[in-house]
Amino acid sequence: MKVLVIEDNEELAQNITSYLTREGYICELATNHFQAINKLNGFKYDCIVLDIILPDGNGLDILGHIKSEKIDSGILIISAKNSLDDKVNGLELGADDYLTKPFHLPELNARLKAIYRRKYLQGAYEIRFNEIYINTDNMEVSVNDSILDLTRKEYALLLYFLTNQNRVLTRQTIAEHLWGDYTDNLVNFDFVYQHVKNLRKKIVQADGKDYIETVYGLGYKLNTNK
Amino acid sequence: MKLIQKFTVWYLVITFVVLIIGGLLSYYSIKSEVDHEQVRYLRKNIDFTIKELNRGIIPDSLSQNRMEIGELAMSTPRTELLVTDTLVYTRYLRRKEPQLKVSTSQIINGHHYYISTYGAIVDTRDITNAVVKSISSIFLIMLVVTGLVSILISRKVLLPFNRTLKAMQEFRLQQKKPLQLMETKTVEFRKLNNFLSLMTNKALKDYQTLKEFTENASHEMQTPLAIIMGKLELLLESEIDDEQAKLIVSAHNAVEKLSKVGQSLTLITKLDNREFESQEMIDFSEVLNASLFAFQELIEMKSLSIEKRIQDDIKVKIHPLLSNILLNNLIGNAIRHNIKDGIICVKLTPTVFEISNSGDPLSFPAEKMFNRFIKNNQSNESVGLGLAIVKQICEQSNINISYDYKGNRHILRLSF
Repeated sequence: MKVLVIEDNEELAQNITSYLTREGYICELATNHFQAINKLNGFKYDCIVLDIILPDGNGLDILGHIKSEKIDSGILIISAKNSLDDKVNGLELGADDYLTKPFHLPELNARLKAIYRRKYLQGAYEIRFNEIYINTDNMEVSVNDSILDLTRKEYALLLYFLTNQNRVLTRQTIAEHLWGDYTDNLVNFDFVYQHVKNLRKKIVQADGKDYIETVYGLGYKLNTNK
Repeated sequence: MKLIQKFTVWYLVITFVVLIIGGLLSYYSIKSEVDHEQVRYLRKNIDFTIKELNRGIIPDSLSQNRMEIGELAMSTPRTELLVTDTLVYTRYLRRKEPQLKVSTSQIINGHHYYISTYGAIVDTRDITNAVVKSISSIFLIMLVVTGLVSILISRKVLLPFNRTLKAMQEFRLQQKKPLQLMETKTVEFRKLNNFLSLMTNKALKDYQTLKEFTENASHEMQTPLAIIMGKLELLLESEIDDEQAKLIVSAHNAVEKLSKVGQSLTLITKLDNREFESQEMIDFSEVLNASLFAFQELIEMKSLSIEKRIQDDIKVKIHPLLSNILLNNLIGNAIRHNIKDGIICVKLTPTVFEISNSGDPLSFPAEKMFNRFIKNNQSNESVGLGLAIVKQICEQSNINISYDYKGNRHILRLSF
């Protein structure tokens, strides 16, 4: 997947590109309006990560440019503004998703992949990982051809792990992915442990390998080398 | 009392006093003028008599009705001209009437004559009556005319003022529209309008600045936080030992919390600025059920039981976004500050929304319940802004909120 990151803050841009590069994406960076327009006119990208506030022009203008030039890329807006107006404006102008700063890098990755799936694979996307098979169309998961009975949260969790393979996912990050705005009300993240435990149990029961491992003191990781 | 009514009353009171003084003045001036004329007339008669006496005509023939001539001893001192009041019996009216008497004594042809005459003076009661009558009719006319005119004039003169009042009442900072005031030639109103325009324009500008500041502050703070968070996440994947991992996770959680504090404070500021004004009626029952559904899993995970008594189709005037935040904070609190195997009760009627949960008593006085950064010891994870936000939302949406602790239960009651 080829991604253009439009972000004026170089440190933040570096965070994003280094995470995505390790994920195997081809990343390019534009740190201002001018560069962004240049790159957009010259190359084709699958996805665009767009910071809505740029030093020389509002990110929404770029969005307008993308639309008027009929550039067919998935667009993920990142913004420090948690204001509803921006969110609505952005989505109305044709962005595919909206992420508020500060965000977790695994979350950004998951959102980008989701956009990619929706946009280029029309949602019908089969994820195959060794013996695990996921049909994102009907949200069906099977291990060794036997269908797993997963709850919605467990399904989301598995997808999240598969999107961020070999990455350490902290309980906080997982909680935020699964519960979003409601995470504030969780006193501790014991329930993340509960969900992960159930998911692992179900995979193992279907004779799948126990790929998900606990990283002591940190969280969990889907280890592909097992 | 309306301004114009006050003016009118004061005007009438002053008119009344002035008319009384004017009445007294006219009474005295009428009386003195009439008396003066009478004295002049009587004196003319006396002068005529004296002239006749000088011609040698005998006094008796001059003595007639009202003219009295007598002779005095030469030794009696002369009197020049004496004007006195006297009472004379009038046959016509059959009573004694006050009369004006003018008398003098003159030495004519060696005789010392005493000459006096009298004439009717106008009765003071008659003058009083006339004065009172005319003054009170003047007052009555004034009363009616002032009343009518004041109503008409107030409509016209006070029109710019009333327009200004209306414009001020309808003025809302959020609309970002400068005040539109009616042109007027009245100096005071022009001053008032100028002042109000200046003030509201300044308020609008300040409001805009504050809003921008809040947004910028939020933006400037969230970007560095996003950088820190990303760096920590990248660091997590490098070669680290358990001790380092723990340090990184703690730092990661702290960054997360800092960002939440920032977002909450931004929300409170926005509430303070009344950025969420809404006249919309929302279906509170529906929103409440949706919120409870979203929390269902968390409630089950904490093995809490929930008791719902929610009436359908309860409409409340509140911004949709705020209703969500309000309910999420309240339900979230009820879950967070609960005990193991505890209970949550939710009740919604057309006038009251009540949410109560089992829990340990507060570790701080109940009055501080809605203060910022107040929290119970056991849940240090929370930011301590939830109820402050709830309170702000309630104030803004004209909802009354009260807290009570009864039978080991925290009860929060919202009355619409």
